[in-house]
Amino acid sequence: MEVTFENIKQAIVEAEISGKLRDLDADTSFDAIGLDSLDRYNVLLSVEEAFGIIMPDEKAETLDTIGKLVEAVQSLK
Amino acid sequence: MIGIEAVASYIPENLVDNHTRLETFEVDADFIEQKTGMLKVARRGEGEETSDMACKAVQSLVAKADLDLQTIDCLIVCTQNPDAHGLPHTSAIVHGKLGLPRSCPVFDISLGCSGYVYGLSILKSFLESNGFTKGILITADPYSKILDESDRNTALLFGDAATATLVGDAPKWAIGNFVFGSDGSLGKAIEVSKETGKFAMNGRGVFNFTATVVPGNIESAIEKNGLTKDAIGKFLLHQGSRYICTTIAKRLKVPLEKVPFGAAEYGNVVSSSIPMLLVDNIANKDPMVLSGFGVGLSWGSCVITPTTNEGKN
Repeated sequence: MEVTFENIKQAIVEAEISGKLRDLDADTSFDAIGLDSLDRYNVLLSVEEAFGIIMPDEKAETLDTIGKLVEAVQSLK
Repeated sequence: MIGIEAVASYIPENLVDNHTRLETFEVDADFIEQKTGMLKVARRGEGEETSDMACKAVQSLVAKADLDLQTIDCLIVCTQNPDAHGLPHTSAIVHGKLGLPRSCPVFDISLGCSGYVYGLSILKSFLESNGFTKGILITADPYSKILDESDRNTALLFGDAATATLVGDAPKWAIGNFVFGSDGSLGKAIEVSKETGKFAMNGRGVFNFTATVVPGNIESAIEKNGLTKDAIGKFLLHQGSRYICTTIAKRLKVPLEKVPFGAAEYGNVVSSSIPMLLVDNIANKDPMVLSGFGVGLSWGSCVITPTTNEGKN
């Protein structure tokens, strides 16, 4: 699957983590829509599974928007 | 047939209300109520040892099942926080405190949150292979001994409790087939730090493990018992957090009402969490899945099925 904003967002939405993720743009922080640490673990896992990657812990801690997530996944592909 | 006859529990009186610690740990009430699910965490009394908690659970079992301890053929304690340094083994200390017969073998097993499922298999096999008819499986793992009470990742989650399960030849629940697994390469996700001597947990590592490994393990256990998910009345999962239980339910594609969360009033009590749920679900009429997972990393699931016996509770 191509690493695009829409495809990553789709993977996250399908994980049914929070309805607020449907309306998220690339730069809105996860904090701003109330995603806590457990939700963020879930977001990362859904992306890891969809794109067949493993996100290192130190990198994962910096990913607080979908935009940053897209860049990080692209760097691992 | 050897199976589960009765289950009893002991929860210390000292309960810490997590709502009083929101500011300290910089978390909001929604996180406590909806995500971890642990409104309170139980803490053992000052000077209360693992063996004391174990004995109180057994005393509760004696009252509940009208049990004569002189008839017990074997006793197992599942703990990773034994009395003192684990020598002598806590089960031997319990043997002495309860005045069990000298003919009764006792031993500890060292497992965390998967321990109850493993313990059931061990005790059932031990009874059957030795021609015994009654055994007690104790879970007593007070994490307050190793918790860093300033660590929000663990202090808000873990509680102290003990349980005692009577396994014997007049079972209320037949114990079916098991499926187990281990991955020692991931062990550092849940460990006592060599530097601090305190318990530490990698939240993301544990979440990924439970979300990706446990649903498949449960499905394998159901299949090994010749059943389908629809035939399962309840899925009694280790109570890591409300969020973990919900995530596993979603990934299993089973209704959330079949996956009870019962730890809100005492916390994640490690190997005691499944038997604590069992106490509340002992009267169910459909097969149930028991699934434990955690320290090791280690996991195991089985299916228990109601018999025609009335049982002791």
